[in-house]
Amino acid sequence: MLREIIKAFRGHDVLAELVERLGEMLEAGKWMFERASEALMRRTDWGGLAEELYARDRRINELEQGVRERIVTHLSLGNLPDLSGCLVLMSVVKDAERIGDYGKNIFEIARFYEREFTHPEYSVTLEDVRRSVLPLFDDARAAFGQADRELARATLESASKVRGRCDVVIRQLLTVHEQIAPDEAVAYVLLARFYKRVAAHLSNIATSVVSPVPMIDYRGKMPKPAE
Amino acid sequence: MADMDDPAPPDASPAAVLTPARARRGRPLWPRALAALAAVYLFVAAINLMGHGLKTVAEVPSSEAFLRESVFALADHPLAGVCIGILLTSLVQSSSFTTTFTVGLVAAGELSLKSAIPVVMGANIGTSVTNTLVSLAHLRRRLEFRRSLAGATVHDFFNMLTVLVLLPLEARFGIILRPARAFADWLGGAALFSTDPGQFNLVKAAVKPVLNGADWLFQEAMMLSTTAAGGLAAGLAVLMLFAALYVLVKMLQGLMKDRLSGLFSRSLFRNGAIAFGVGIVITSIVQSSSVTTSLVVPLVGAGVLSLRQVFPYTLGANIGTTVTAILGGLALAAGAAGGPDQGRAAAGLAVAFAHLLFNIGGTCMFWPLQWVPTSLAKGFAKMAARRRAAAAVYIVVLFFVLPMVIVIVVNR
Repeated sequence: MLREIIKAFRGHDVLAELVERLGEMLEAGKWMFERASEALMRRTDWGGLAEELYARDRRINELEQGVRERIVTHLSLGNLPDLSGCLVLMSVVKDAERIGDYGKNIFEIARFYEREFTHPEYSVTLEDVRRSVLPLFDDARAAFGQADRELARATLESASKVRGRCDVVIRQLLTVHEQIAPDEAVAYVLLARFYKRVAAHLSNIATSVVSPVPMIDYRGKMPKPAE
Repeated sequence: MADMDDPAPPDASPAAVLTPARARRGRPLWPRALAALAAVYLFVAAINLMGHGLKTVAEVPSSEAFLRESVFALADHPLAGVCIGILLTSLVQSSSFTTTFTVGLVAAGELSLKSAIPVVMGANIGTSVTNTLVSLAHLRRRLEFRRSLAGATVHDFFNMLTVLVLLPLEARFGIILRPARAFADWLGGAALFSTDPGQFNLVKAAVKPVLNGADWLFQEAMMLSTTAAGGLAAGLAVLMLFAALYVLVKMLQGLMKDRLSGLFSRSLFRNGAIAFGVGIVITSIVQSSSVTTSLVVPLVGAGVLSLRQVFPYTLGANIGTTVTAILGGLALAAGAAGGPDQGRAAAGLAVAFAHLLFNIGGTCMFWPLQWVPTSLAKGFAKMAARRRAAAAVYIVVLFFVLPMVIVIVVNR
């Protein structure tokens, strides 16, 4: 008991600790995204993946709950100068948690879609999109961890391109009348949607580096106050 | 799309404050530590000055008689003593102040040890007004308010239950007075301090300039009567004591600031023994149970900590806060060692130990029976969450109106 109290007494930077936890969440989210999408492309066996993937998702949830708890405690103990930093953290851990959920969603497509993909105009495009999303995890994490504005802006730019490409895929599926089996079409739409959402959440994390608190998750300038 | 060409002002984004490179540079600790040491000196000087002032008043028999028979006699009845303790502590929001003040009065011979013990019991009740007030901040959110009020009032109910049990036993059998006195006589005598009047006394030497300064100011410069000079010196000492405790608590709280978040975590509160230890340690350092018990109220309100988790912490805080009065008692005993006031100083120290024994006794009784105070707290909070005015009425009546009425009625 005394050892634990002494350890707590050493004191440490609470916010730095929470930033590390966010990093852990993004690391786990990246792993889930990568493995789930590889399973979908049949590059790995999804059966052996399930347990580890869901364990990582639970770990992400625990980390989010832990961050929230520490923030409430930290602010309740009068650390009001850290208020905006804590509000930012509350927002970005939500994004990191959602990324984990989308990793699960991608995995569930792998579980339920049992055929090969037969339309390379979509499958190759989506594979390319997947490869574009992967580096955004490290970029968003580094941009946030080091408050690197340039890297954050680059991340926003890349994420924006990813979202555009996903929109093109969905629009094509909706407007081009070619013969695609319904299950395959659904798989493409869901993948495009999930990749877009993952890129959006990573983009949200990057906005916290370049935007004031009210504008986190949004782009553009603060609206002018009403006269 | 973010306006990439319009550079944001430096450090505008909150993420900037989270980076190691831009992390808040730690303020040096030494100014706070120095201020805390100065406050400790002020504390020791104040308590010795109070005794000195009252001793000066006592040189005039009629003044001494007035003080003892009219003013301090108000606390002769145990119930009145408890209520005076509640009132005074509620007003200044510091049980450390009330108990140290009482130690000083007993050491000065103005209050008997028998009358002082109910006052320190009342101080325990009065100190919980602070965290009850803190819970009112959650008034607008019903569920949060219910939780935070329960977290605050469990302290009240524990103290009231302990007084209900121990006050009659103390009044009838002296179950606290006897061991407190015995221990104080041993400690305040040869155990810690030399009884040789010829030996150098550091505390006496350190506070002598303050005592001499007060004498010069009131008796020579202002040419006041003995009674007035002594009374003003004692009054000045009370203000100094209040200031010393205020500064000490603020400085120590500031020194602890970076560590508090780590100490108030669910992992550290996961078992009662650890929570109890945290309560003792933090409160001994910060020197204020009002501060440390009110820190957990928002955490209970937010659901981070449960009532069951904070209860042992509260018990620990009650014990940790007795350190202040013990320090005051030791300071008096040290100053009086080898002198004619040694016996009375030991009585002052006994008050401090009585405070400690009262809290230890309450812990031993109600920690195993924690369902009693926690059920009372939960029941009251549930009712007050429906009728929120009840909380304000509770504070006004329990901490101010009722004690005043009782003191008046008992002393009529």
